[in-house]
Amino acid sequence: MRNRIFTLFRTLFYILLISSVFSCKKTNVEKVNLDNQIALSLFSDTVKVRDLLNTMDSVASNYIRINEKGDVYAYYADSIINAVVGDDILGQLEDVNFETSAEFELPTIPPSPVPVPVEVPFEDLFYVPFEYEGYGINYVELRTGKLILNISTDFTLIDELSLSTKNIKMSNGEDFNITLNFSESSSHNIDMDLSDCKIMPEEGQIAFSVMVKATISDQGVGGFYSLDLNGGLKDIKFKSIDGSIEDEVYEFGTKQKIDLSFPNLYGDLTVVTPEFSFKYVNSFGFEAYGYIDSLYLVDEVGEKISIIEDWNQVEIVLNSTGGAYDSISHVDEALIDEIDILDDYSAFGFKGSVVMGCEDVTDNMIADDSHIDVIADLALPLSFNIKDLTYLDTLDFNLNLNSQENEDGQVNVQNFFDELEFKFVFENALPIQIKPQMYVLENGTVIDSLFNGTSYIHGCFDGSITEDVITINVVDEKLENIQLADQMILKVNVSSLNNDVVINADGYFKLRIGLKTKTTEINMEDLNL
Amino acid sequence: MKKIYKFLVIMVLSLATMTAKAQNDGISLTLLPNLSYNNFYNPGVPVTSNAYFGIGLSNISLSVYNSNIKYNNLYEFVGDKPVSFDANKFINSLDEHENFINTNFSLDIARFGMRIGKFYASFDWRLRYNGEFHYSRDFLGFFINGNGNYLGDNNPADFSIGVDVNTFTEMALGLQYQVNDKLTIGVRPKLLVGMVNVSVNDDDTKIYTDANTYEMTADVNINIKASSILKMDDVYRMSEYVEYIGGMDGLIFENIFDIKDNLGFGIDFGASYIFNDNFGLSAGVYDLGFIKWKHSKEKHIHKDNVVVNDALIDDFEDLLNMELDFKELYTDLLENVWDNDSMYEGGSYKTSLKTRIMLQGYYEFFPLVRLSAVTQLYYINKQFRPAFTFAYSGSCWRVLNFTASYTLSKYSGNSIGAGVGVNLGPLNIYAVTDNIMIVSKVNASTMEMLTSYNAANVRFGLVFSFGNNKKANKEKSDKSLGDLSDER
Repeated sequence: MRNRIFTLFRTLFYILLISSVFSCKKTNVEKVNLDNQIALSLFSDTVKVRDLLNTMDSVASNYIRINEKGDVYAYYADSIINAVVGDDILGQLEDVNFETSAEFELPTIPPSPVPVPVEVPFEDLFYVPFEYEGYGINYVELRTGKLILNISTDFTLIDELSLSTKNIKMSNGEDFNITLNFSESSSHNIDMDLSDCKIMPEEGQIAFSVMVKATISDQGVGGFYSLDLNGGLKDIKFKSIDGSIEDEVYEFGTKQKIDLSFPNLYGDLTVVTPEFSFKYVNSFGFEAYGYIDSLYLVDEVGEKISIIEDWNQVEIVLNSTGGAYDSISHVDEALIDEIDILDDYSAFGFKGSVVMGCEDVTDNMIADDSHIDVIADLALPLSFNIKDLTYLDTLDFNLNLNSQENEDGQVNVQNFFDELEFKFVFENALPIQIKPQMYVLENGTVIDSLFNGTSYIHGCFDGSITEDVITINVVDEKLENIQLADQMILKVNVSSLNNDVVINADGYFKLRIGLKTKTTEINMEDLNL
Repeated sequence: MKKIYKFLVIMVLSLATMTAKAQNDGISLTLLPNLSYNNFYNPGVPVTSNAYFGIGLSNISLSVYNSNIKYNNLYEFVGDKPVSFDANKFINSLDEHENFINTNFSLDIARFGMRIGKFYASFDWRLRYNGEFHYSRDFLGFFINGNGNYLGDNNPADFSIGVDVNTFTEMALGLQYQVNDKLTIGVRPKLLVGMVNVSVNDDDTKIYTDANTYEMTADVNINIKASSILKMDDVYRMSEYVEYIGGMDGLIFENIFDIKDNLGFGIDFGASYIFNDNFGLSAGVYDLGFIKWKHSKEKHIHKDNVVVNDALIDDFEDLLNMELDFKELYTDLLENVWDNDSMYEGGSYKTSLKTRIMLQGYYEFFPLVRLSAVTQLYYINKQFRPAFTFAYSGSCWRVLNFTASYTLSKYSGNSIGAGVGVNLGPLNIYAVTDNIMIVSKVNASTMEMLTSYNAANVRFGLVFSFGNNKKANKEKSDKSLGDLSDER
């Protein structure tokens, strides 16, 4: 067995020294007097506008932008792509049907013992209409189309019939020319593809010339004969047109869902001078004009609030821009002065019309991919005038200042602290004055408040960051109430003091909370020794 | 931090277990007549017995000194009854920097000596413990008064502490030579073997609390060295060191026989001059020496403007559900100041013994009445501190021996010492104290007893001594005188 000599003497002194507290003969001391002050930095955090923006959900972040100056604004864009497309003008043409009869006179040719071929031309024998309402056509180039033609004749000796017209240029550049063999039939059906053909009507008609070929033998010819024609131009789509187009109205409109709501905010928060940017692309070769009929927000009850004053119609001119964007700026003049931003808007709507028409359209003015796009950008800079805006929120709250519990399991902070002093140090780089208040609740009932109701935090209106210190002494009943509270109502009232202010992304708000406790007396019983 | 605190508390308490031949052992032992310990400090003081020996219980010494914790400053009194602990008064009573608690313990394992002609040879083998804990006022004030009393850049808490603990054995070979009837000189070289050393030096730690934000920062400068005769290969933390030394696998009795590491050397020397039968002077130096600690663990922390506490909560979301545990706060705070208690390998280092210089004079009217005056210079906390003792000692037929003294010392306070020795043949039994007033507090609480006076010490033991050189010299002298008168 080891001799623990050190243990022996250590034990001796432990007995001596420890017994100074626990000796049989005790000093009859029941309390401790002291001048104890504990100062703790409880809380420090900086809320930066830019960080707040980064934490926004993906939906909201679509709407919040920062411009080159760092100013924050809400941005809504409604785009109508292809409000008018070339197809609208050139593509939707009705089929042209016709039925006509043409009479032609052959000179008298007696029978011949020997077959004698005879060819007789007839210039512009018959006409096929080629005109469309709203269009004055010099010529068109067809993207698609076909000529359907049924021809029959009562000239029995006809061998061939050639149809030609200089009003139709085929894709190879040659005039339209087709030869029909009537030796075995007296009628023909023609289905001719006219894609990529150019049609140059004269006075709205296509004039067909005819060449009749016959062979005279034992039967002579002479007199009037007829051609019966019926058919039409089908599936016509213009590729280009040279001529004129009468004004045609093309309406457009869209409504986009947005999320512009600020929960827990009450009062008056109006955004001044929203910026409305109207951009367009007009790749047609001629100018158009149009109207913005409405630009509006839809609130939570479905009511439309017009951004254009008095729901006026705003006329716009859409110059030919090639493929580039152009903008119209004068729309701002027609907008309302301010928008109440607290109305919980759910949609942004945009309606208007484009009038397309030109008296002198050439073939390079309208193409397949010609289009007019219109984009309405609504920028709501967070430039606002806050008169009386209140943020209200109810939060769970549990502040345990001392982890020691008595036998009843309750915290007796007053047994240790005579006084608690909370020091709130606010550093404000935002252009808003803030008046804070906190109400503490127990079981849903307000039992106390933290601030005295007259404290406020100065706003940063002139670029000078402000610092305010609010000191709150928590003693007696207030101290007990804070311990008992299980909920807190945070009420923050803000005002821009009649200034039109802009929130900048570099703005921030810093809060430091310090706690200073004061203890002058402790009962020995409470130390649980 | 808990570990550091634990260490400090254990150190303070463990000071009691540490043998010490410290500067505050007291002087009464050497004033008790007819005891072979009268050359305890000064090997030049003649030993009256011809031989002596003692084992184990020949000399056991316990002492506690505290500079500034005074009973009257701890409490608020109504009449003479304490009614409340007055923390403010206690803190204000402390010195700004110079507060200390010093404890000592010594035990003579074995000792013997014998006269060989004019020489007196002796061997002493002693186990010694001394420990000193010094602290600044703010060290306690910070915790008791709180950092709220140390606000601002110009008002930091001066958080300085120091610990110096030594355990070692001492094997001394003393040689005293009677040059003539009047002059005796002595020297006592000693081999020192270190067993445990801990040195904590923190002189520059300051904790700042911002007056507005209450943010706490600190400038820290602390140096810790620890060494032991035990192997510390697996010791990486101070708490492990303490447990290792004092725990189940700690120091044991057999360790005092380990003489290979942590060796040191010391020397005591002195002389005495007896003018006549009544009057004598002596001067000596005690405990001049050092120990070289071979292996050590160290920790050095030097940090400026380190943030100790910026904010307990740094997120708005956590603000409303915070829980504050002040005990845990202080723990975290001290950990931020002093980091954890990990230590790393260090090299060898030296510690010095607490040297004492003594000058003593006496006048003996007759054996029952001898008056002595002793001047001592203690080397404590890098300063020499004087103490003056005026003593009475007497002997009744060399059987009952007693002493009473009055010591003036700024270091350990003024005190009245007393001692008694009984010689039953060769057996000498004795008990001495340098503060007999402690006895008046026997019926008081231990706290009152320990803090009513700065010093509390006791030394006792039993030793065997043989022969009396002084008596033999006197008989020889009388015979010589008689022979001379016969010759006349």
